[in-house]
Amino acid sequence: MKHEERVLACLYAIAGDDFSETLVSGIPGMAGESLYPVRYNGIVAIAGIVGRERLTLDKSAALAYGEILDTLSENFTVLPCRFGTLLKDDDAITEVLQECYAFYERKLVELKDKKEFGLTILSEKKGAATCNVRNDRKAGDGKEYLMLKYQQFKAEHELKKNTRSAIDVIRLELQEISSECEGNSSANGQIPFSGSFLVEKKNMDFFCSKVKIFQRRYPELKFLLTGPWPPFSFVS
Amino acid sequence: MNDSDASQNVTVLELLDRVLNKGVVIAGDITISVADIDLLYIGVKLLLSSVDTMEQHKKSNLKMPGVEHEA
Repeated sequence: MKHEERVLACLYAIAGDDFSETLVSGIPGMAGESLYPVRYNGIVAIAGIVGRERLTLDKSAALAYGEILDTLSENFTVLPCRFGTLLKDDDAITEVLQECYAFYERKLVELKDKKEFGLTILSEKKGAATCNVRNDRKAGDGKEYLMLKYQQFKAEHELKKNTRSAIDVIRLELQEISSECEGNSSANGQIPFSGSFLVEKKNMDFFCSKVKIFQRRYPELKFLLTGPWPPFSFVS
Repeated sequence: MNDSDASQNVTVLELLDRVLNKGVVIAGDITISVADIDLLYIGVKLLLSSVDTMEQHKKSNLKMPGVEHEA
C-alpha cells in the first residue's frame, strides 16, 4: 500500500500590495519548500506547502522562521504570523484572510515602514543596598542592628525611587521617537523595564543612538537593545 | 561567557520569544510538534502550552477542549 504524505499549508506572514512575488518565491521555507502568495482582495498571505513528515517545529525551525520573516520585513510590510501556524490548504488561508480582512488591512497601514525594537533594562545596583550585618553581635548591639536595617531600607527605597524616575524619563523620551510602546515597568527586582517599541525605519538610527545616550547617562542601569525585528509585538 | 556570546544569546532568546509568543494568531486548528510529541490538532490558544503541560495532557489522555488527535 502506497503511503501518501499529508501536506499542510504553513502560514508565514500577511502582506499588502507592496509585496514582491519574485522575492517571496526565492526564499526557501522552514522545510526547504517554496513560498508562494495566497491573494485576497489586495492582501496576501505568504505560505509554503509542507509535508507533515518533513516538518519538525523545534528550536532550529523557529530560528529559521524568524530569519524568513526578517527577510520579508526588510523588503515590504508584513504582519508576522505566530510560529507553527499550519492550515489545511489554500482555501483555509483564504477563509482566514476573508474573516480578518479589515483587521489585516488596518494593521498593514499602521505598520508600514516600521520595525520593532526590544528593550530590557536591568538594574545592576541590587547589591549596593544590601545590609552589612555583623556576625559578632554582642548584647547591646540591638540599636546598631536596627540602625543598619534602617539604612538598608533607606538605601533600597532611594534606589527604587531613582530607578523608577529614570525609567519614566527613558520611556517617555523613547516614546517620543516611536509610534507605539508596549511593556512593563517595575521598580522592584532586577528588571525595572522590559518592552518593545515600534519605530519608523527612518528613525531607527536615532532610536539606537538615544539608547546609547541613556546608557551613558544611567551607568547603574544596563540596557539590552535588540532589533530591528518584524513587528511581532504589535499585530495582535 | 564573553560579551559577544551573551549578546548573541540575548538576541536568540528575544527572537524565540517573539516567534513563539507573538505574531498574528489565526483562529482555527493548527498542528504542532514539540520535543518528539506526536502531532496534535489543537486549538490555537493552546500553542502557548508548555511542553510539560502537553506531555501531561498526552499521558492523561484527556480530551482537551478543541483538541482532536489525528487519526
